[in-house]
Amino acid sequence: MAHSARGKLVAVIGDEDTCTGFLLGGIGEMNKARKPNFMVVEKDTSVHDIEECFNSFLGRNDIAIILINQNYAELIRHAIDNHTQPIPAILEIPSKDCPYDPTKDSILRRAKGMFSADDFR
Amino acid sequence: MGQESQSCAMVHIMYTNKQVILYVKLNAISSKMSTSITELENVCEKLDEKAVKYFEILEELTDRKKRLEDGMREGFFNLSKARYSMGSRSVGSLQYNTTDTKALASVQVREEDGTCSFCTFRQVPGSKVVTHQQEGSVSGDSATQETQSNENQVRRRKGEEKELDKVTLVEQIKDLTLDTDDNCTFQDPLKWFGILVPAALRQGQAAFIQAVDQCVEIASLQNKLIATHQGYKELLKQKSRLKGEDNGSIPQTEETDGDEGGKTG
Repeated sequence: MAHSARGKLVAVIGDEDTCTGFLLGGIGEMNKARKPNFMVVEKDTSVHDIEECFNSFLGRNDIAIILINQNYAELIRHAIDNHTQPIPAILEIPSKDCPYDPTKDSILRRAKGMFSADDFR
Repeated sequence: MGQESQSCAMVHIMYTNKQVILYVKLNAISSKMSTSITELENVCEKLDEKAVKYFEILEELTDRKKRLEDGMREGFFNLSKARYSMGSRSVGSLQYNTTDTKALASVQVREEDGTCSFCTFRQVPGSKVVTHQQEGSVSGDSATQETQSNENQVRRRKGEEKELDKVTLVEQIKDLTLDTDDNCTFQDPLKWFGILVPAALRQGQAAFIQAVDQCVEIASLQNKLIATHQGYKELLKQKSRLKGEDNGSIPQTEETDGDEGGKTG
């Protein structure tokens, strides 16, 4: 009930600097089950862990937006492409090491395939 | 030579017959087509509008993403500066407060035109967390009732001690956890890194606060883009259906033409 009164959360999956930055921005929260809404991806974090965390964020109803570094989004592209619901919205953000590449973004890739030559006949 | 001229004449007759048949069929269809053509035009106009809207949203989206990237770059740069002045281990995940963190920035979801849009709202650091109990403004009566019931529990403790089952114990634990939440306040995350933090960290925080707002706007735009895409696809289906209705009669004539042509051949 507290959540519905205060709104939903923004979750973040990213490297240490991205998480630190967004937590400084005030999005970090620990819920009653002591589960955070952020995940710091270290060098030794496996793809399976990232995917598991991503899926757990998808399953939580107190999260409205999931921010994920594009280089980690690339690792779990299949999971991101499978998600078509408007909530939670998934947003690919640049990281400190990798600049944002619009050609890899799943939303913009969908946009690219929107207009085919057959439609204009 | 005589046979050839005869067959040429036959083909000519068949061709003229075909034209007549086509003319009659087209006249019959013309009335039906006039209505479907206007419908088709309407759908095409709507399609154009959707496409223009789609590209407008796409342009805004790319523009905002560019601004987000610039803002985040500035934020990363400031964090690095702060790390340089404070020490390499002083700005990182080890400093996060993972005990009673509450989000200062949260998102409200609104439904507009079939799409979900988001807007941020921020709490002031230092203010108390508003929970369900506080929203309802716990009155003095209910508070006294609670104390009375507690007293009753204490009075009847000896008699009912054995009756306390696991369920009630769990409920009591839940009550206790709620009490701890009430005392929780919104803390400024900057204080995780110390009281006198360098200016670079403050600037970095400001950059990331803007980045959060931009992320929320971008997420709304993305949802709008997806909704427009869906609308466009539906209209495209409608258009192809209308086109199919229009062409549904004409291909039949073409087929019959083909058959006739085959027969003549």
